[in-house]
Amino acid sequence: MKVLVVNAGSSSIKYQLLVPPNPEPLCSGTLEKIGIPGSFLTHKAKGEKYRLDRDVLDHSQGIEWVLEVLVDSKMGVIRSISELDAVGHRMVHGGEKFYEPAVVTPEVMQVLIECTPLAPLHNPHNIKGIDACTKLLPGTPQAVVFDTAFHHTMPKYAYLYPLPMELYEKHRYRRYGFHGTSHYYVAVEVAKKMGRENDPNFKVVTCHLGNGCSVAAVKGGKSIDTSMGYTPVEGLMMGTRCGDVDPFLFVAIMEKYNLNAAQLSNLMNKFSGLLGISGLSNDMRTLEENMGKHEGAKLAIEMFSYRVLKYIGAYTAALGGLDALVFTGGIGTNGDVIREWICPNLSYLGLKMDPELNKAAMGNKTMKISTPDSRVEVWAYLTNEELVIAEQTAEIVGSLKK
Amino acid sequence: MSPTIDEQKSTGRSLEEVVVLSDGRLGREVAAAASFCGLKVHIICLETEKCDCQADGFKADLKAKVQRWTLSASEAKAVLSRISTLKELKSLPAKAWLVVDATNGGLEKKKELLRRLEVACGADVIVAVNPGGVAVAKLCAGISHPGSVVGLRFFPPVWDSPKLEVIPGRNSTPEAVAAVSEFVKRMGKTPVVTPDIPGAYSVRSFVSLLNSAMKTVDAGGKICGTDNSLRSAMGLTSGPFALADSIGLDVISEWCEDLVRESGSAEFSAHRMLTERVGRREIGFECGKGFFEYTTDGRACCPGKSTK
Repeated sequence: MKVLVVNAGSSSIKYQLLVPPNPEPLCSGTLEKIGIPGSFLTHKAKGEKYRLDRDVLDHSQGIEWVLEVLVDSKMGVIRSISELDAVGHRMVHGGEKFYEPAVVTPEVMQVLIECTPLAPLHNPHNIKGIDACTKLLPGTPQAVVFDTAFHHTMPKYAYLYPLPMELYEKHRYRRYGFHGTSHYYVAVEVAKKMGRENDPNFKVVTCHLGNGCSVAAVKGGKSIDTSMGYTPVEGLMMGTRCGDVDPFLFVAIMEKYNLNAAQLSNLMNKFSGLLGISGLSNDMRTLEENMGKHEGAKLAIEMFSYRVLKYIGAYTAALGGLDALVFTGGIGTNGDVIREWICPNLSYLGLKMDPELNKAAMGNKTMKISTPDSRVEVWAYLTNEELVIAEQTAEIVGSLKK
Repeated sequence: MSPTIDEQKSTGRSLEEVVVLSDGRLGREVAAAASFCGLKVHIICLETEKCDCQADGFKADLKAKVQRWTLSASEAKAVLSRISTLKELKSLPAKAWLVVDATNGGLEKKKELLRRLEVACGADVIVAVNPGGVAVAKLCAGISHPGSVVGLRFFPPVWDSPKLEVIPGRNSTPEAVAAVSEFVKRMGKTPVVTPDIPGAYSVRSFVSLLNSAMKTVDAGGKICGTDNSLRSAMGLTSGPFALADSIGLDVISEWCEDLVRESGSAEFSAHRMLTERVGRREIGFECGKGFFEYTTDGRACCPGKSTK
């Protein structure tokens, strides 16, 4: 089954055409600057890279262009769009309504729209992507796969905040967690590698460390806790997000600087994290290059690593032990420096990282980096959210046809 | 009849591209706020001697916003990249059909502006006029196409304000009102349609509040104390004195003049505390001194105190 995977952002559309379970896409690309002068599309297919320029006013025009490229005689990988069997959309937030992928129907769309207040920065754009595909591919089934869905197995004592119960009951203010598709993928894949995919007691902590970062505690393939909360701001220190901070400090800062909600939101989301501490960059690669000569870069890396370490410790306690520790995401797979900082501090668990393997696990590789006698296996693992979306779309659309 | 939004789209015109008329900080603020929302903005300086619409003027404004976490450094660059400066208003850029007046000024200045726009742009253009303390219908007296003109109030702080007053004049066409409302929504704000009375809701109410606050100081109160009390008692983000400094005391003085003339009510007469400061050109934040004094990094100090 050929599945087009679409990840529509505010001004971008990322896409891949996959034939699951094959993890290699037939093609992939990103359309950037939708609605902004200078929009362009980068497309990879058959070992070639292309860059195309065209003004794209909205998501509908964007999807139309992507479809054109897919069937293009030179860059394309299919002859006609009728070859597309399904479209799978990444949807950031499914709230408490969606625990599983869903086939797009008018009723599902209505519920998705109702979930918009939960993720006002993401869901509306995901919905625009679906609307555009509905218009341009009227006969092709579509499915939505949710970033939050994997974490729906968290127990109530883990997902509730200790606030007046009324706030949860009336408004569903609670921890939802994100990066679910990625945590799911690496947890399941590592369990397979270790021959424990059917073990209900297999305990793994997955660290998705990219520009956004989160940790999940996964037991027997189910998420029991995760560091991001109602929004992606909670938890780890990230590229520009602050993660955990005493909430009352925000009250104090608002009063001190007479800030409004938008400014406070920007402070937490865009000015904090690695960028805020280093004063240099939100990019871990830049910080690693400068850590020997720039105090801020060194401190940012230490704080980042320390906070990951604390969550690993907490989730090991929550899991009642640890069989595997997985690093994924751009920093997770390439960040030998942070892994080197974190792992020796976990030696009390019998975890032993092989420094040579850790160094070797650079350049987006999947490999085990612990020693053979380590009681906990440590992995640098390339995530593949698009493949999960394609697989789950194929499964749900396939069951529809039966 | 003005063309509808869809009819304009069919001719290749779009609300994604607008012309902003500026005579200073307000114009730059409106242009930057529109650009931040992804619109392409052509800005025209009407009074070049007091109006810096070149990149340097914007850079200083945007730097202050980055410092106070209003937008990130890369967003500031993107905002600048979508703003271009037009030297004069001879004709509209091909894709634009909305001219947004973000200047201050009273009755005669605005009437003259609308006449100039009509000559330069013809009937096809929609004009969102910032009406000060005058009714939109009165501003349109003497022009041939009053249907294309709609009031749009930019009450500072424009960037943060979630709502903007859209004020249809007596002759404004529904298409023109729809276009201006759509522009407001495109800026991420909610249009609030208000009746065409001089000063509409915000200017009338603000002038009354400021006059009451000045009378309180006259009776022995302090500027800082009055501002702080009103902020906490009424849940305002700024007290009336701080807000007045931000708007510009010269602008408020013009509003008072307009409101007294248009409404016939002495309630809106400019108070001595205001006229004296305008006379001394202590017109608020922009010049570093108004009701408050401002440090070089923009912090307000109570009168007579070096720090707050």
